[in-house]
Amino acid sequence: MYELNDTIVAVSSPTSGQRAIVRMTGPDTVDKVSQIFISSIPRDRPCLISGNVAVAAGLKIDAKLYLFLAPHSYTGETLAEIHIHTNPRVTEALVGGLLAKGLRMAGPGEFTARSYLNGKIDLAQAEAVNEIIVSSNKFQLAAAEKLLAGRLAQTTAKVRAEIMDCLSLIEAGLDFSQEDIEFITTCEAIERLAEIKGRLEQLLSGSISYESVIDLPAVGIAGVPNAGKSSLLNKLLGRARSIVSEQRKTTRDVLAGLLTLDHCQCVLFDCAGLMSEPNNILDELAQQAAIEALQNSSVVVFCVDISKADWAEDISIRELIEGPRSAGTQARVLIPVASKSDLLSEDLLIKRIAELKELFGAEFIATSAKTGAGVELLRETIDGKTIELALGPAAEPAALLFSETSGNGVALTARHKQAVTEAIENIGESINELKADNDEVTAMMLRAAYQTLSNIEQQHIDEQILENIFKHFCIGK
Amino acid sequence: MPNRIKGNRFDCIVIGGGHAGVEAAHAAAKIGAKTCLITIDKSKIAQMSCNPAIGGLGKGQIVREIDALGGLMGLAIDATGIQFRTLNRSKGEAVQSPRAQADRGKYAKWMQQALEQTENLTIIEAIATELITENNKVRAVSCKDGSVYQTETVVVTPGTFLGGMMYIGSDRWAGGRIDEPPSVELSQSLKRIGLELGRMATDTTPRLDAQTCDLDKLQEQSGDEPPMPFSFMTERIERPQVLCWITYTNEKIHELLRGNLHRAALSSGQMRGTDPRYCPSVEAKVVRFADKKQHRIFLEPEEDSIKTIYCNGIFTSMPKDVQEQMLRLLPGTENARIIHYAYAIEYDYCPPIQLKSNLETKKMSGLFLAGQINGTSGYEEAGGQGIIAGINAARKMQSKEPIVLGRDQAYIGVLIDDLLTKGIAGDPERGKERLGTLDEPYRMFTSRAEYRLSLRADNADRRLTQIGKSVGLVDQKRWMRFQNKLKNIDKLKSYLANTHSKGLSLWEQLRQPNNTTGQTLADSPYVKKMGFGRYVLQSVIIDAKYEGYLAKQKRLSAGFRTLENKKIPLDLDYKRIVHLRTEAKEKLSAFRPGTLAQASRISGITPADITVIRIYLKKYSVRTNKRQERSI
Repeated sequence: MYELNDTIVAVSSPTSGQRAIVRMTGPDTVDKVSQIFISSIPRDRPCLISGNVAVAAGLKIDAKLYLFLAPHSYTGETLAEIHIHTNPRVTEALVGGLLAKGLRMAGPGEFTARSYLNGKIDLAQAEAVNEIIVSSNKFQLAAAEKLLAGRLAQTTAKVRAEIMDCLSLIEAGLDFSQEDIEFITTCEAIERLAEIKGRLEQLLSGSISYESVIDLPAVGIAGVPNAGKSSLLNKLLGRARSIVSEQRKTTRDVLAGLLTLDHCQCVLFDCAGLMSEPNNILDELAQQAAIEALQNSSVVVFCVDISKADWAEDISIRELIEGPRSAGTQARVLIPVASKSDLLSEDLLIKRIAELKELFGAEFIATSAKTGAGVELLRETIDGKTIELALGPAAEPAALLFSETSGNGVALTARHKQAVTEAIENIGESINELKADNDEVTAMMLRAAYQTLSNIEQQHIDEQILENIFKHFCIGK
Repeated sequence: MPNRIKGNRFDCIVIGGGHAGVEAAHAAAKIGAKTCLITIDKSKIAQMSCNPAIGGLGKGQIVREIDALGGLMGLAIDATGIQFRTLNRSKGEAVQSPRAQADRGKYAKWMQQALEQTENLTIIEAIATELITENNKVRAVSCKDGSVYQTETVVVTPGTFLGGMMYIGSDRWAGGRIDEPPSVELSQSLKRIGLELGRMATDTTPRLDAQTCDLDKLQEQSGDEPPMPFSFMTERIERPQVLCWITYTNEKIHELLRGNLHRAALSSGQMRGTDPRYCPSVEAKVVRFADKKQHRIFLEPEEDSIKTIYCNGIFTSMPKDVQEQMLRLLPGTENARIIHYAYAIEYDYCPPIQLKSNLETKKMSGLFLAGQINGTSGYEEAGGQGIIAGINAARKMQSKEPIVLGRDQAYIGVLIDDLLTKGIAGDPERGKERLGTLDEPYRMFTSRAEYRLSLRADNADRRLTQIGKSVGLVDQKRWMRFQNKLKNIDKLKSYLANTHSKGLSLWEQLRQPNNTTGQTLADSPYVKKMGFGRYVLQSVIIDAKYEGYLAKQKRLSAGFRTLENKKIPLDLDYKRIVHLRTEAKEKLSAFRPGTLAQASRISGITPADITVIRIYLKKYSVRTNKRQERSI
């Protein structure tokens, strides 16, 4: 459910390339472009202008501006494109600047969504759009639960629940003041809200730009359902687990985090359990997402539950994990790992490891997410394999694979950052209003914070739908 | 002596003379519809069957809104109130609400007189038994005495009378109120014309002989000085105010109640309705808040002469002997004589998703419902619906567009919108089986209004007088007075904006938190010279305080406004939208929301569903336009 009357912006070019197109559409397009584009822009006709664009104070770069006026544009609204040759970080800064000026980050497919809602696409196409919405609608319900557990949404959902809790108590104080009950003292409310705010701030300050991790090597954790993948991932990432929110094309619909090793950094992700024969459409969709994600990873941790004795299913999905061995594609490096070692006695463990070696023809690293056994060895192995893959077997381990940002944080897209920042501001204001005894205003700000955060979760669903639509549709971008 | 005017024609018939019916009949008649109010007993018109008070949090705002539209409730309570208090005084003005104790008898008398003096209004004592319809339109109302009245529209406001069943402990008898018979045939008639009915329950409190209460030893609660009137037309209230008293329950009472839980009508499962959460019985409180050692009880006089006492806080359906014993143990009422025992009542209501936003039923053209029949509780909620139903019944007869108040315009708008979209009450685990069934009476709270900062008691006149005027309910006297107030507000605001001290305009100073400018304003020479009244000052000071916040509220709710404007045809066939989820199809077909925003507020409807409908409507409108083009 997108707002259709504001002005949206998005980068619509590959993040890794040197050329970037920043596209915006909506009623304020010309106004906002005029604020950053250093040449005068005619307001009455479409045009192509070469000039400079101000990225930040003191930073100007060459740019080309294409301006299309409503209704003669792809979206049917005034639309501008700024073409620049630069690196992703400058593009990010440019978009950041536009967001600060009041534009909203577009969701995927939102340009095309406007296009059909403005009647630029004909009925047959709209019909087809509907068709796709259905399938994603069914997909959305269970798939969202199944696939997306552990993502940013989970963090925000928790914070949201706490906001709701506080809000209810404050509201009760307003609506039931005649009862002889003190629902929450101002002090207590301030304390709780400050804590909530702190958590969001931590999320934000620890966050790294999503764009900065997109080029890092990807390491997948794969296996059958309940093989212990998620626990292993959490263990590897440590307490301050980082969640990469929605990385399109790479780790979509998978739980992922930034793993900092001795010699490199990589994006570690875990995907839905693989099955040789999915039970239903939802499993199938989950499976597809998982396989897609694996295709982008150079190293795969193949996770097998050693506490069970029957590995038939594990064997049958091995091929899915290794991928087709066609010519020209680089073979994935597999790191076989036996999980849940803590459930077995020493003797049995040794025996089972040997059995696995016989079955799969590879040496398994015995690990336990519970006790931490074998996890250090796994880290070292991942580190080694990744470096080896990137630099060749003889290379000296170097800091080459570190991105500019370091530390373990949540990777947030610009849009998510915008939402979290807004929620922090709202909660900050709610605390001030509470101090000034304006409980009714406090309540309003808390509602806003709640809404903003639920938008992160909600938008994701909407996004999936629209993304799906326009993936199938292939109109524009 | 039944008033036989067989075949007599009316534009609008209101069935039931409670708080909804009174406003409906008055509004319809005043707008110009030839109106008839049918009531079982004229002397019981506008009787306060439960709490002898008007207003309260959220409710006080509704009374102000009824008043601004040109209704009666505010005037009635100003004329007959015996203690006035503004609730939430220590909090922001947006959540402050007026409340007043009424002299029950005088309140009802005042209303009865007001109706008698209303032109175009006939009051008939009869028991309405049947709605006569034709081609899905109401045609006439027939009564038990055989008389039949033809009409264009009917507003049904039966309160707790429809299939009313009363309980005290295990005693049970058919009744609509103390010593009054229920209305059984009308229920059947509503069912016959295709309306679905449900059961709702509520309980009341005992009433005591004030002479036999030992009030002197209790904590006193006095009214505000000066009392703040409800009506825009009341300059000040000069009557002396009475006291109320506060007492507390104790462990002995709790023990008594716990030991007799199985004997309470509501919790023993004898009744089909459930105990409401909002106004729970004292026995429910004791169970639910087991760790609380005491509960507060207000002893409120019901007349200015203090003859009877209403025990606010002892809602109960316990048998008489338990009620007796409880009062013996309650400080202040040890020797009290019980005039009326508390009773519980169970009655039919009509799940409100069967209504359109003008309060007319979707099934039957010209049939409007208001008040408790729609699942609400409270005089104010009833009155708010009553005035809207009365206005819209009259407008229907006059072929005018209905008046629908927005959620950003009035608490009444929030109330009606909630009824239409939140048919399933707060707790999703309850009332699941039947779609759109309220499981407990709907009561207003300020937190139900997302535009709370602008829906204030102090600005109800500025929100709604214009609408009241346009429908013909606001008379010239009120309109002139209102215009004058607006003019004075403007004058004062421009004075404040143009007068500076300490580098800031006075207006900017007023906007500062905790400023003292507001307090000193009344003494400023300009204000004195201009003779601005306290209400003008109050309006301006509150406006200044909320100005910044309102901008924020507007920004936060911008998205919703677009959806509010997207209308959905009421006859939209959701089953034909192939791409809608089955659950969404079912819900939307049952609720038939009028706008996309309403659809989005129905529980279980996802934003994705809204997107699907939106795309469908887009196509739908394109198709309709093309058809129209072709036909041209």
